[in-house]
Amino acid sequence: MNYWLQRAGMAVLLLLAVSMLTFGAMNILGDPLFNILGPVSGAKDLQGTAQADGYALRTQGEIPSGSYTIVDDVDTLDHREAVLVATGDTLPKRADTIAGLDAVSATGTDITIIGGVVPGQLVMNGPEPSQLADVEAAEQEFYLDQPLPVRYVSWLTDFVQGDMGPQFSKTGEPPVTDLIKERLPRSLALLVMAQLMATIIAIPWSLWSAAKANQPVDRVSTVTTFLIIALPNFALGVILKYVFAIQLGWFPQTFNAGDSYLEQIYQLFLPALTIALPAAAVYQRLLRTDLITTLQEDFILMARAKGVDRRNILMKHALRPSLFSFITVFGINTGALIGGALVVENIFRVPGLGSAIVEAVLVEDFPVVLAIVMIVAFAFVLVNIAIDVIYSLIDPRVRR
Amino acid sequence: MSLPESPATLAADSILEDQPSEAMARRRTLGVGFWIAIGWIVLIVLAAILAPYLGLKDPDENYINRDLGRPPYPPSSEFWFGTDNDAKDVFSRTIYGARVSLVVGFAAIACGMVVGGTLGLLAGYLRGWFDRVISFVFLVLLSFPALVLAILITALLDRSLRTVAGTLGFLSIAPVGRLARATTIQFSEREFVLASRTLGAKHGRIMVRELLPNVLIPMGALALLGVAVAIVAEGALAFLGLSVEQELSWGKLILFGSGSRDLQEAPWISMGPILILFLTVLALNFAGDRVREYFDVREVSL
Repeated sequence: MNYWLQRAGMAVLLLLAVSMLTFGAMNILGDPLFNILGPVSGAKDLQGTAQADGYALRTQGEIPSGSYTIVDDVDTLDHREAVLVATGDTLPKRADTIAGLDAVSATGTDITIIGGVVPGQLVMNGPEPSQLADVEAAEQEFYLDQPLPVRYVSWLTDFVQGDMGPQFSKTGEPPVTDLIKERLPRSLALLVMAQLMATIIAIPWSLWSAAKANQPVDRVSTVTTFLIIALPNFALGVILKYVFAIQLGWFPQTFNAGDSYLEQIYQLFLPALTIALPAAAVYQRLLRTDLITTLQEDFILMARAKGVDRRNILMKHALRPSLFSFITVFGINTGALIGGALVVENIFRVPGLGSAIVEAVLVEDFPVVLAIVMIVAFAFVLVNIAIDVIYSLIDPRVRR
Repeated sequence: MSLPESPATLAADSILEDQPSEAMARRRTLGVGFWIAIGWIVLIVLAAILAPYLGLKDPDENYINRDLGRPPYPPSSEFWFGTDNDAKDVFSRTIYGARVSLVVGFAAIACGMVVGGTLGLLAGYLRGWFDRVISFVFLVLLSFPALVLAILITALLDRSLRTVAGTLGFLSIAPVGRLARATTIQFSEREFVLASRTLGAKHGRIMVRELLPNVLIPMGALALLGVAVAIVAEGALAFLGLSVEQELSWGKLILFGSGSRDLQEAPWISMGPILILFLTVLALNFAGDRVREYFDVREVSL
C-alpha cells in the first residue's frame, strides 16, 4: 500500500513539474497575445523603431513577398530579425504563405522579397495608439496582466476541475475543453488500434520465430525486423500511402471526420499500421529473445518430458513468463508512439491531438498546447502505473 | 551477413546484466557487415562534406529539357533519382540535404554525450540529494514525448541549425544521462574504485581516471544508435515544417514529394530521399548494434 501511495505522489509531482515547465517556457519565450490580436501583439516591442509614415514589421524568419524599406540595419540584428517598413500600399497582413528573408540581399535600402512557401511565424504590424489599447484590453481579458505564478495557479485550479480555459485566439472559441473532447477520441482510437495491431502481429510472429530459432526463417524474420526499425515512421507512412492508398487503392488517402464510425475506423487503418509496424518489430525482437531464454528453462524440459505438445508448450508454458520485458517496453513505447502518431496524423490528415498541437504551436495558442502536453504526460504516467499493476497480476512474486 | 540478436530496447534496470547470449560466440569480431555499414556512413558523410566539389548538379537549378517534355522527369542516367516538378535534380538535392541531417544528428548526440554524461557520472558517483534531483529531472524530461518537446522548443525559439541541433541535443541528455548514471553506480562498487580510494585518490580523480573510461564504452556504443535517432527526429521535425528553414534536409525533401498528386505521378521525388535516409539509419543502427554486442553492453532506449 505504502508503495502505491509513493508511486501516486511521484506521479503528481511529475505532472506538476511538466506543467510548470511548459507553462513557464511558453510564457517567457513566446508571445501569448500573438494569436489573439494577430500582428498587433508585437506592437509594444516595436515602439521606438517604427517610423511615423509606415508600419514597422518584425518577423522571426519569414515575411511575405513585397517591397520593403529597411528601417533598422539588418546586420546589427540577428539575421532572422530585421525591422522593415513596407512601402507602397500593400501592407502584408497575416498570411499563411510567407517567404524567406535569406533570399533577400540587404545591401540597399529597398529590398524585394521572393521565396518559397514555408509555414511559420507571421508578420507583425507596427503600433498605433488604438492598437495599443487593444493589447491592454486583451491582456486584461485573458488575465495576462497578472504575474506569472498567479496565472499558473489559476490555470492549475481550473485545469484540475476540468476547465482548460479559452483558446488564445480572437474569439477564444471553442473552449479548449471542447476542442480536446473532439480531437482526443480520434488519437486514442489511433493509438489503441496501433498497439493492438502491433501486439497481434508481434506475438504469433515471435512464437513462430522462437520455435524455429536460428533456422533460415528465423534469420529472415530477424533481418526483416531490423529493416522495419530502420525506416522512420514518416517515410513508412509515405510508402504505405503510396502502395496501399494510391497504387492499390484499398484504403482512402485521407481521413474524413464526417463519416460513420465504422468508416472512420477503416480510414484509420493505414495510419495505425504505420505506427504499428515498427512497434511490432521492436516487440518481436524482444519477445523472441525472451521466449528463447524461457524455452531453455527446466520447467519447459519437464513439460516436454510429460509429453505436452509443442504448441501447448509455446502458448501455455513459455509465453506468460516471457511477457515481462514486453510489457515494460509496451509501456515505454506508448510515449514514443504518441510522438509517432503526431507525424502520422499529418501524413493521413487525421484531425487528432497531433495535428492540433502542431497547429497550436505554430500560432502560439498556449492553452491548447499546454492541455495536450498535460494529457500526453498524464497518459504516460497512467500507462506506467498500469504496467506495475499488470506486473503484479502476471507474476504473483511481485505482489506485496 | 551476420545478424544482431540482442533486443532493441531493454528496461533501464537490466543494464550490463551478465547474461549469456547467443551473440557471445561472435562477439570477438565486428564482422564484415559492420565494416560495410561504417563504409556507407563514411561515404555519406564525405559526400555531404564534399558536395560542392563532386560535380553534382546544382540542387536549385531547373534542368528543363525540351526533349523530355514537362517535368517531373523519371530517374534516368542523367537524373539518377529523377527530378521534381521544377526539374530540380532529386539526387543532388538528397546529397545536399544530407548536410543538415548529418550535422544535426552528430551535433545533437555530441551535446547529449557531454552534458548527459557529465550529469549522469556526477549523479551516479555522488548519490544523495544531487542524484535525486538529477534523476527527477531526467524523469520529467523522459515523460514528455520527445517530439512534442522538440516541436515546442523549435516553435518558441527559431528554426536555425543551431536551435534544432541544440534542441535534439537537449532531448538526448536524459537517456544518455540515465545510462551514464546506471553504469557509474555499477562500477563505483567495484574493487578498483575502492583501491583507488584507499590509496587516497580524490573524488575528481576517481571519476575522471577510474570511472569515466568505463562509462565511455557503453556510451560510445549508444552514440551510433543515438545519431540514427537524432537524424530521424530531425527528419520528423522537417516533415512537420519545423526544422531548419532555409536549407534542404531529408525530411523536408520527403515532405515535398509526399503530396497525393506527387506520389501518384512522380513517386521518385520522395522515394529517393527515403532510400538514402533508410540506408543511413540502417547502417548506423547496425554498426551501433554490433559495437554494443562487441562490448556486451545493454542499453536504455533513446
